[in-house]
Amino acid sequence: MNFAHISKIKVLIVGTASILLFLMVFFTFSNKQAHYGYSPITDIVTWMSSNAFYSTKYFVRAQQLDSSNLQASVFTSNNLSGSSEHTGEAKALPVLVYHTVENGAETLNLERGAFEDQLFALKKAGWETVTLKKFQAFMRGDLTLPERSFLLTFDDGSKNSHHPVTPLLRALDFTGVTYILPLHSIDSESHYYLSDLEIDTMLDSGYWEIGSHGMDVHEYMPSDSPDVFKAPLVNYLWLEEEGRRETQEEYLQRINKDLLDSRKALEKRFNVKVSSFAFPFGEYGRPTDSNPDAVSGAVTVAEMIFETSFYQWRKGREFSFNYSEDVSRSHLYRRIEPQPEWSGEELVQVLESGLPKTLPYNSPLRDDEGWLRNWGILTFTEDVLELSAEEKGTGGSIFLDGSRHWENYTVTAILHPSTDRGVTLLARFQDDENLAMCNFSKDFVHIEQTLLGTQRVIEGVRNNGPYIPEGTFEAQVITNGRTISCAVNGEVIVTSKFLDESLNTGGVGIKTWHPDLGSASVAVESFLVEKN
Amino acid sequence: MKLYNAIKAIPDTRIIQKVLENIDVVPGKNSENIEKTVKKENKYISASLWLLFFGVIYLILFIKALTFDAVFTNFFFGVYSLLITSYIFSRFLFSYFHKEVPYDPTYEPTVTFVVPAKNEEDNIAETIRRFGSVNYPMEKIEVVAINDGSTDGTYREMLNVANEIRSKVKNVKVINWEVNRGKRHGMAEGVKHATHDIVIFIDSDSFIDADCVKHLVKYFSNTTVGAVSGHTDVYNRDTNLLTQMQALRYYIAFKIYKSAESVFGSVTCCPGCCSAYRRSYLTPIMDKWLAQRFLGGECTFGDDRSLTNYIIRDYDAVYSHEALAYTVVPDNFKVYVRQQFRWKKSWIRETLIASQFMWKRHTLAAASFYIYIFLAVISPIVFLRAVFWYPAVHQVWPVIYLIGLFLMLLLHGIYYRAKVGKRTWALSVVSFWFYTVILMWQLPWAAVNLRDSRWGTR
Repeated sequence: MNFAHISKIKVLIVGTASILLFLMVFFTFSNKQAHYGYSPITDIVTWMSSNAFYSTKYFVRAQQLDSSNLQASVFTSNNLSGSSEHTGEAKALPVLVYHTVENGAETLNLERGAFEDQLFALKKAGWETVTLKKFQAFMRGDLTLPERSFLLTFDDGSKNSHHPVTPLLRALDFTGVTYILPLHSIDSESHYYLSDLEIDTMLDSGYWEIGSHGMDVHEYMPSDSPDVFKAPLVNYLWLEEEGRRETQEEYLQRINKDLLDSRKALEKRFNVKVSSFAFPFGEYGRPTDSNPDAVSGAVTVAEMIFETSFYQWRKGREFSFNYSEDVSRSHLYRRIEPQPEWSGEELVQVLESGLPKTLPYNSPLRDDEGWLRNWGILTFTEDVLELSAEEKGTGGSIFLDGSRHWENYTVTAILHPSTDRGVTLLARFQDDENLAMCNFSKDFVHIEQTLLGTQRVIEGVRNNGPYIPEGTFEAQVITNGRTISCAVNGEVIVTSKFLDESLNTGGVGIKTWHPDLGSASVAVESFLVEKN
Repeated sequence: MKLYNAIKAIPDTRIIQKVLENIDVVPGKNSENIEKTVKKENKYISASLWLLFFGVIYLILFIKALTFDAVFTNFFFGVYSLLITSYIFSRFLFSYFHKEVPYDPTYEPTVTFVVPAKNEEDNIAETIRRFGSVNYPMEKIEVVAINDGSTDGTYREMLNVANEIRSKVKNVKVINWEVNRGKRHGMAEGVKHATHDIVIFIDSDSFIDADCVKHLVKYFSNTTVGAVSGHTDVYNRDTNLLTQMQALRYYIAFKIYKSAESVFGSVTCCPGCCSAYRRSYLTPIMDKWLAQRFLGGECTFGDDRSLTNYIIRDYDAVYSHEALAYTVVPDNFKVYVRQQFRWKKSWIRETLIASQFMWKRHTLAAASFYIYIFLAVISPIVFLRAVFWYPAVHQVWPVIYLIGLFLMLLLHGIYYRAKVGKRTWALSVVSFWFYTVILMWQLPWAAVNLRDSRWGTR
């Protein structure tokens, strides 16, 4: 260097500046890693700026929530005010599952505005979140919770289940549980899934808990044959090297290892106890339309590894909330999947209609009340409920959401069946495979119970008909412990004292059936349930 | 009067200067107030500007940290990105450590001003007039002005101004060529007629500051020095946005880039608008320089860069930031682009030549030189890829690239604003960005059109 002067002051200045710059960049960078992982910068900038804007908006909106104006125009449960049964304590808890927010054209993705509306509507209607720990304690029977409590969950652990979401959780003081895929979130530099650093930050914030979503069962794999792809947790897989399908034993071993590995991986990396599991695709081994070959076994395996497992509720066939007294299903819980197109009010209505109802209950016969359809066509016109068969169907069946916990009651319904095969009142309904019923037809009144899907008549009368008049009549089901009776127009027709012990509690419903396709139909003009 | 002269010489307070020219200022009270207000603005604004400067460096470094994994995913472009950032930072760093050489009143060599001119009747008089007003012993000055086949009144102007300054500068020669021979021949002719030790080349549209000579010659006390470049600012800065933008570019080009080269005595171009050469080192190479041929044709452009190249084979070329001169720059887009095109061609030619011996010089100078070639050649490709190809293939906007580019140029802009004081610089930075992108493309275009010598220097 011929024409340089390395003056001490200048070296000091440059040196100090360099050290300062290095430190600043280092800390900014680690901060960015902790909050955003390996997300591309464009995403980071978008999130930071949109979150800055939306956080303010959420807080302002949260301040304006008028908690006194709880229920809007939607149906609210516990209609008979002054009922001594109403304790304000929860008897069942719903669980909501979301996947992503602001994630473009993905299915199950919500727009930010829609998500905001849904959660704000819940808050406004009085719904509050509980942590997973509290949920589990409640289900064990160790904890009481306020009536409108729910568990908020997110599946897949995508970045879009956190960055646009957490500011809203903060504003509403909600907590969430996120179900992580360890393969994508630990030791991975994904731009889509949360990185382990971000999850650390989430856990530290106090607004999140984590659960497992399986290790390597979140992508469809060849099962049955190399060309057919199915969900690996609930289907036998095709073994490439051996050129055959796996056996049941291999399947059980595989999924056991998978779930165990996922739990260990999460517990090791995040130093928390992982006690819950969300079935990928919401499938736990029940044959469905999209997966008729699903095999059972996953539930048993999951039960041994996790205290709590979640699947997605398909509207109908079972109650939407999780009742703590569902002892037989103590490890398996259902989750409601809010649809992207639902408004806030629609979501509130879904929850309100599923909220455990107190007795006495006089149904207003509304479509947002909680009548869930197992099959058939359900319509409401001018305070009359009509249940009928589809064109190529033999009937219809509905049950009342929020009635699972009812024990000893009398159902009084004013019915008008269109055929002489009559109509059925369902009682002690636990799900569409475990229930009892009173069947009223002109020549035959009988009591049936369905246990684990098997239907059996347990009592009936046939000789002294006609049992039901033409047109409208009053039908009743009376349950008391193991005794169940059926009455028409106030007169008890048949009684059984041997209702199965497992059907000790359950809700109510209505069914109609006729062998001629498209003909079964019943109009319900009144439906009252009173405690015995 | 001293303050009056001092203020007059500071280009920032141009407006004040204009005011001073029109009213009779009593040196004393008024001048002091003006000085005070100028200083006050500087203290806080200056501090925040330098803070901003480091803030931009921080942002640039942070972006580099964020995109660091590009080195692993795409080695070539990742390395390019790191290289160009380090290169530019190194320019600031080196120029920061440039040695200050104080003026030595005991070392006052004789100087010859050489001014070749063609069709510069508007400016030539003022150019030459200033030679008679320099703060330097007049008896040590001589002037050689060459009228190179002008078709306007340049020759007449030369004669008039020569008469004007003869009272101060004894030896003023005016050479008249009926037919244009080209700037190179004009410069050579000047050297031929020069009798003094140091030859100072001044462009016919450049105006030197009174202390320019002092600060140019002081470096020659070191015998390794063969050439000294002065610091040239834009005279017609306020004309339009184009000239303002050029003022920025000139300032940066000299203060940062030339200074960084000068640290190693390896200034690759001592510009013809204001540069000094030691005549004894010049005379042996004059013939070679005149006879220079390239791609089978005569060299009609890049005379100054070419001459510097001959000198730095064996000697040092340095930059004197206190030797001030002002030059008139194109205020018209077309003329500007043509000038830049010419400069790009001379850069290509001379860089090819210099690359043959630059490796012999100081390691850092050589490294800077070769790295710069790589960067200049690759930049258009990187730009294309980042702005067109990558977004088309990956459906992402080239946000990071453009922000990085903008920040880098902003850094230069902040430096400029911090150093020169209050000026309409914000738009210049935008304009600077715009032209950087445009001029990036001139290089490959110039390479293709290297043989085209239509737009030579007169």
